[in-house]
Amino acid sequence: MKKNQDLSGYTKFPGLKKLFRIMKLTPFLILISIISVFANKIYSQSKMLNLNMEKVTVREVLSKIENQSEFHFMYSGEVINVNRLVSINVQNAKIDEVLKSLFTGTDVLYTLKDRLIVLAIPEQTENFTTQQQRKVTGKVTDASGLPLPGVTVAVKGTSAGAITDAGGFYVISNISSDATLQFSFVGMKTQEIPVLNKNSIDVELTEESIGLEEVVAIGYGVQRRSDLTGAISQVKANDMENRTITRPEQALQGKTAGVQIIQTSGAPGSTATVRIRGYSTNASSDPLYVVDGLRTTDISSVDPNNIESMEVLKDAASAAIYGAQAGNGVVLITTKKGKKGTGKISYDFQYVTNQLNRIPKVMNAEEYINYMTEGNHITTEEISAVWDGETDTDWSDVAFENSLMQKHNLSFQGGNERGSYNLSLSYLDQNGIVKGDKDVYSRLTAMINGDYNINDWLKVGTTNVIERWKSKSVSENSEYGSLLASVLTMDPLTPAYFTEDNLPDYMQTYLSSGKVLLKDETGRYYGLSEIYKADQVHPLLMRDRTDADSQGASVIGTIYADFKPFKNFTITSKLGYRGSFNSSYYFDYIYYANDVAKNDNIGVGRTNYNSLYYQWENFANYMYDISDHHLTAMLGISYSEPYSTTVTASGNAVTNDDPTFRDLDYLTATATKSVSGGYSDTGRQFSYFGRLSYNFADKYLIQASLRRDASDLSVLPSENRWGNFPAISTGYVVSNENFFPKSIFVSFLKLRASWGQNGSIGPLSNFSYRASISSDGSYPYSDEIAYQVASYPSTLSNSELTWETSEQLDLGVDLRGFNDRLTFSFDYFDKKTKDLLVETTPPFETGVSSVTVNAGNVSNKGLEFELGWSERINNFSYSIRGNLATLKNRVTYLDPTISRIDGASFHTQYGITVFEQGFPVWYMRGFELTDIDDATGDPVFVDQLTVDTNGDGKPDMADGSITDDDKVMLGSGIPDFTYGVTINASYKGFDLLLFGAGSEGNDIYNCLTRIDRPRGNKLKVFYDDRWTTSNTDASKPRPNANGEDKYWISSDAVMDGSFFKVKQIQLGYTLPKTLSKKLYMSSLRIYTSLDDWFVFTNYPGFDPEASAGSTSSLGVDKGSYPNSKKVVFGINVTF
Amino acid sequence: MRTKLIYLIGIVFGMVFLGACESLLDEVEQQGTTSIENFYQTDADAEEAIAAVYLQWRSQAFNDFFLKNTLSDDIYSGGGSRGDNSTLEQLSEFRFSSSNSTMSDYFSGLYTLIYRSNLVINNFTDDTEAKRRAIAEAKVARGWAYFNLVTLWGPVPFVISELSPSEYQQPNGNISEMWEQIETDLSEAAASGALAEKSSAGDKTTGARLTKHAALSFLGKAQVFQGKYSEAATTLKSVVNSGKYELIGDYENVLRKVEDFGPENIFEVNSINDGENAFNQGTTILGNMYGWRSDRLNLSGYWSGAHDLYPGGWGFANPRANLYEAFVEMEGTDGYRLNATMKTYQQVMTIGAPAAPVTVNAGTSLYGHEGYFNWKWRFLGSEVIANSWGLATDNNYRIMRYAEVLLLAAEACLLSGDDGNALNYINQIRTRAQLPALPGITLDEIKKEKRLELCIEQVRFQDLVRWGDAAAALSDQGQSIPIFSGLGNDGSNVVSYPYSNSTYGFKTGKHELLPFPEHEMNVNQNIIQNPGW
Repeated sequence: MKKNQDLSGYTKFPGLKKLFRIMKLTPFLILISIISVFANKIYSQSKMLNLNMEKVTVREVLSKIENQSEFHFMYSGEVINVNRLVSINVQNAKIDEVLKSLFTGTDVLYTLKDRLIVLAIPEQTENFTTQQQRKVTGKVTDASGLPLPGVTVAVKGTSAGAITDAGGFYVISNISSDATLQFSFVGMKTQEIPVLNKNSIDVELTEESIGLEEVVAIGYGVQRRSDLTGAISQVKANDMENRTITRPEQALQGKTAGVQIIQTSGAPGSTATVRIRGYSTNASSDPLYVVDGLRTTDISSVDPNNIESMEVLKDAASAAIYGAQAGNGVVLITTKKGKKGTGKISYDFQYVTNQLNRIPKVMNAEEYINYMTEGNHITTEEISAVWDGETDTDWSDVAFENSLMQKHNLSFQGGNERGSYNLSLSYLDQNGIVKGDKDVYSRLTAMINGDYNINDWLKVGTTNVIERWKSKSVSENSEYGSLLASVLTMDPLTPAYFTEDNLPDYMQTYLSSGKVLLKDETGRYYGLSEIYKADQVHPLLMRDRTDADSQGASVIGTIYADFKPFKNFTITSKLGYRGSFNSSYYFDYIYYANDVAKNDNIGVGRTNYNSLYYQWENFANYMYDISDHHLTAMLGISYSEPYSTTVTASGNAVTNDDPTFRDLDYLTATATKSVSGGYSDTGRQFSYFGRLSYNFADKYLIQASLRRDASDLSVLPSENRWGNFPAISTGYVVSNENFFPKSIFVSFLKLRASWGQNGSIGPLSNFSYRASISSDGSYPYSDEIAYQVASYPSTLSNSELTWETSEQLDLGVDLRGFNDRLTFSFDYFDKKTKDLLVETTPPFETGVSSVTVNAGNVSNKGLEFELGWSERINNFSYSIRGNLATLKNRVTYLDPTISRIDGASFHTQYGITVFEQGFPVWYMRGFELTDIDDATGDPVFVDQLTVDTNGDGKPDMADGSITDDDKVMLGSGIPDFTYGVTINASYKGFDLLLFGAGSEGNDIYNCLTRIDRPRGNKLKVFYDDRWTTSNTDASKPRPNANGEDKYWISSDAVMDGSFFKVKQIQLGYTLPKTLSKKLYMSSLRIYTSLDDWFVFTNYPGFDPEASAGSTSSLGVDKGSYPNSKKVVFGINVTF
Repeated sequence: MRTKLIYLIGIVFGMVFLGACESLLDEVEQQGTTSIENFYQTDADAEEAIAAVYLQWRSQAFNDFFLKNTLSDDIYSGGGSRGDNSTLEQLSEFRFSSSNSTMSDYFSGLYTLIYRSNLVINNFTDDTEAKRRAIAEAKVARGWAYFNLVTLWGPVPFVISELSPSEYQQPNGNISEMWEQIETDLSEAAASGALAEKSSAGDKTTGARLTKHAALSFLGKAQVFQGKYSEAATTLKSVVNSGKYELIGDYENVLRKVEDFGPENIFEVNSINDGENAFNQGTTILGNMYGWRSDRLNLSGYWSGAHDLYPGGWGFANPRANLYEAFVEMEGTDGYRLNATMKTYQQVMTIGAPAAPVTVNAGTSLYGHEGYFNWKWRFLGSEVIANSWGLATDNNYRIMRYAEVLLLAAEACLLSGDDGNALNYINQIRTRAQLPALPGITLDEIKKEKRLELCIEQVRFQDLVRWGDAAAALSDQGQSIPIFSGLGNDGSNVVSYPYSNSTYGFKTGKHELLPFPEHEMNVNQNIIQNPGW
């Protein structure tokens, strides 16, 4: 291709000091300008030229230079006399020198912009009076008055245009007075100025501030950020890229105020729980996810790398457009679409090593022996019978290793005026920190996004995420067999392994009585404890006794068409679909560890779970603009239909011991088989929705929306199936008022207020309003295996059942200042959820144990702050963003017929979390410890006032004994506030990212010591200051104290779970273009990162972050899989 | 073309808009259910509805066992250690409150049994054999449930029809009205001719269904509890004289699988050895609960076939020393019935010996245990249901044994002046217990005999209260709780009492009636709590 552009055909321009030229290919010009500004100067400094030419035209010399190098010239043949004959002889000369020798003595000026060399002639005469066409000149500067070279000045609607020169000047001729000039420059706000009668137009471009002009998804449409009247937080791609997160939810953590992420487990592939503005119900408070318009509850298939942005609709007014499903907030996910311009291939790779972050301190052998013998749990004889006097097994060494994770992401994208595409393939392979390959997660995701303008009124498009995943997991978070809990509770006296020759007598006895003892891969027997015979045994034995394997595939996507029958009017018809196909398999081996942990028969089983969902939505958007009035209207309907099936089968004997026979096909004829199938009925939902926005002069904003939802009969009876969810929000941009002082301190100030109602159907499903006869169980009348089916009404009818409704008021302020370097947002919200759906027990004489009623209210209030500062100082740029959100959560009302609802239990201790009026949802309940009795070492609990002696309804006396009635609130898993800080800095090719997130004021219920398993090892905190005869002023009771049954559910078991984690410290380096070009890449960045490396907490367990269940077991730690700390190496390449 | 398309879209839009979809919402139907209006019609419906009554009755077994026995002076609650199942400990130590879940669950379970019975009684017409039978069976169930409610809680809400929402909060019932209903239900059922009847003592064909004589036995018991001794004597004699029940020879197995549907069982709830439905037999973990604590005892002989004691027990419901002493007083240490009821540690150590004797593991101890091992309720491997991982057993849970009928009959006869029959009945019991016949009889002897014969069989607490003996027998319950650590150096049992309570024991004027459950008090504004609670 010929590289130099001969711009002949244009008349010589009269004009200012320096002259450029017009060209036809505006897009090309834009591209060049981008390159010219952002590329560095190294090429022109380093490229050496050799020329030896006699009597040739200037044109030939330029051509030669272009052949030798990557330089190319731009000039107008009309202006520059390129046919002039010259001679040149240079060796190893820089381009500067060559040009100097070529043009010295002529009036040609040359401008060097990286590889682009523009030749021009200074204006000398003014002869445009003879011209018919209008000519416009001007200077483009930035906010500080400095000239901006390389700015594209385009004549709107034509291909004509110019680029500003080094002094920021431009000249455009041959344009009519009704034309409009468009000034655009990367990183600057584009400006449009009508020419009218002006001959000179000077322009000051302002930096494109972080997003005032940028659009934000709001559900069934987009809105300029500056027009927002609700509380919508946005997390963009750069907060998700190059992270070690595997799921999109995790990207929200610490990045935006008011969104709490609870990573209940650190196991590979495990999901994170998202809570938006608190906990509004006794049931799950999961938000609604909307992926490219598709409503879904599961976004595990979406690779974080494929997400363009996530918007969290936090206030009710914003979320109300999703009506009955929006009660817990809405997260909108927009996947990456192709961008117009040349195609781009990019590849991202990440290599991660995981390791256990914190090893909780538990008692070592000596301490264990002291503790257990002091408490008479174990006698010294018993110890000497089984302990060699030396063994001090550190079970965390036994259980954990460093493991690997790798992520690959390859994407292709491109687009032109008519359409765009983005194809992407992502692969994730994660191995957890438990030794071996029994805790793994791998996922292959393909994303196919495309759109195309068939003509000027019809655009079609599709978005698709196709996923294939596999996982294996180990048991966690259970008092009946968590591998992680076994690490903390196994006694240190038992050796981890025995070889065949040195088996202790008791294991020899097991073997000779025909029991199967498991061995590791090298043939050593796993050490069985003769001291601690419990559900929790050798962690790797727990790993090996079962093969658990889950895998599945899913497709989520949409196909849509946008019709534009007339100006400003768009009708969108969008079909969304989701299918997920999951299969899980297990094989339980025969083994013996003790009488509690054993398996006499093999077990093999499979479960297939498939779900299909589709929705069809049609909505129309209309925009109407007249002078300062901007009106947007949207109206639509939606229909959706989910469907799912489950089949489970299992058996307990296979015909052959060979691994290839471990499946249901090979069950023996006499094996006990079990089959169960579930059939989840089709659920249907039908909705109308509409929204009206009005903006007057960018000062006064108001928006109102309404959604009407109807559910099928399985949810509500037809009489009250319709729910109305209205919302209204307003904004006042004070800074756009004339009276508002123009200053650099505050450039933008907006006040917001919104109110709205959302719904939640939570536990409403499966005809819970209706009593009908169901066959539940059967009864045998003889010894034969023959049953009579039993039928009875399962519940009582409640025809008054209705949606849960949450109502939220939001007041907010958005502020920008210091040339938009400062951004600040503040929100206050007050969210009330009423008509909470509670499954309750009516008076016992009704004979029915449960009926679903609307019986409670919950309030969530909080303040949210987001503060940002970003600045660029020459080559150095940095930004700091912080956010903080407080939360006050209360159950404000619970029907008097329900005293409290029991949540989590710990073995036989029921209701360690409860739901009760006047307290935070699912607060932690137990006995209040006052002291350790100095004389006995027994814990002393507060005997609460429970007896009402004077009949005033308030208890005023203690009853003299410590019973369940003396349990009180000990803490709550809900933090007082959560916060996050992100710091970005870059200097030349280097970039640095620091990101931390924390949570303050949440508690963790440490449930590791089961009362009936006193020999389990314990956290060292229970050892160090325990009561002994020589330490009577102790803070912890003596071992085996009276009242220990209450002690393990007392205030000592409820611990501070506050934490701050430095989630990411990443250092990256982007190679100079010249270098990457040599590697045939257009850019190459390498980086290294420490993720989840530093943790600040007082919690003595594994991981304060992963010590929490969700919903009713919030903050209950029964041995959860900790998040690992990670060393990351990664590269990002584009071609 | 373009106009056409827009037109088309308009139509589609309009169609959907006009609510074509809304009718789809009505098409979603509930799966696997029948509407109430269409049920309660056929014989098949009657069979399904009454099976739900039996199912509910069986599901009461666990709480029936633990509530009534832990309140008695027969056992300690036991378990792994202090606090292991604190609800049972509280009952055993008389430290429970209205929030005790075992108590509350039994209360609510009885009302569920009544609810399901009411549905059968009130919804079916008695136009066929099957429906008449279902109605009669439901009346027996309702009678039995109210018997327990009235004797344990007293003035409970009286409900004999399904309640509408406005009737949910029922006031306390009238006790005499309820006794009347119990007698009416049981006698109507017995007289209906619709209930099954055994052809002979060996007849097992009636299986787990209620018989006419079960109805009469419950009726007789209800009459005894009301002090209607002569009526009771008549009723109970009709059971005895029917000849369809007899005492089995082998006392050791009265509660065991081998005697399921045996001649001594008046009524039992059924559990069968069906590995595919192991956890649907109503006995889930009951066997484990009363099984000997297997992580403290060496039961490994089970695996080598040295004995059949399944090593999966959790060590609850351990006999008290004072029960043992009561046996010794009557039978001596080698008493046949004593040895068939419980074992001393010395006897236990002979089980599985010499290869694998059952012993307490060195350094460990059994909680809530005084060295006496429950034998009548032993947890046998042969009763463990396949595929239940040792968590369910297939022995039937006896609701009433013929021995109880004889003892009730003896009491009724004695107190209505028929000493001859009273002596006859009690001596039948003694003969089977391999004790010499008594020459004469007093109420005190009946009480002693009944304690031993029916110990840990869910009758003691109600009897003690009825006789007015509860305070004497139970006032020390919970004062101190033992642990048993095997043999000491001198070869004797090592029992210590490391745990004690400051408040404990049966209190006259309070514990005769259990408290209405906390939940009931919270949700029912019209009910008045029992005195003292």
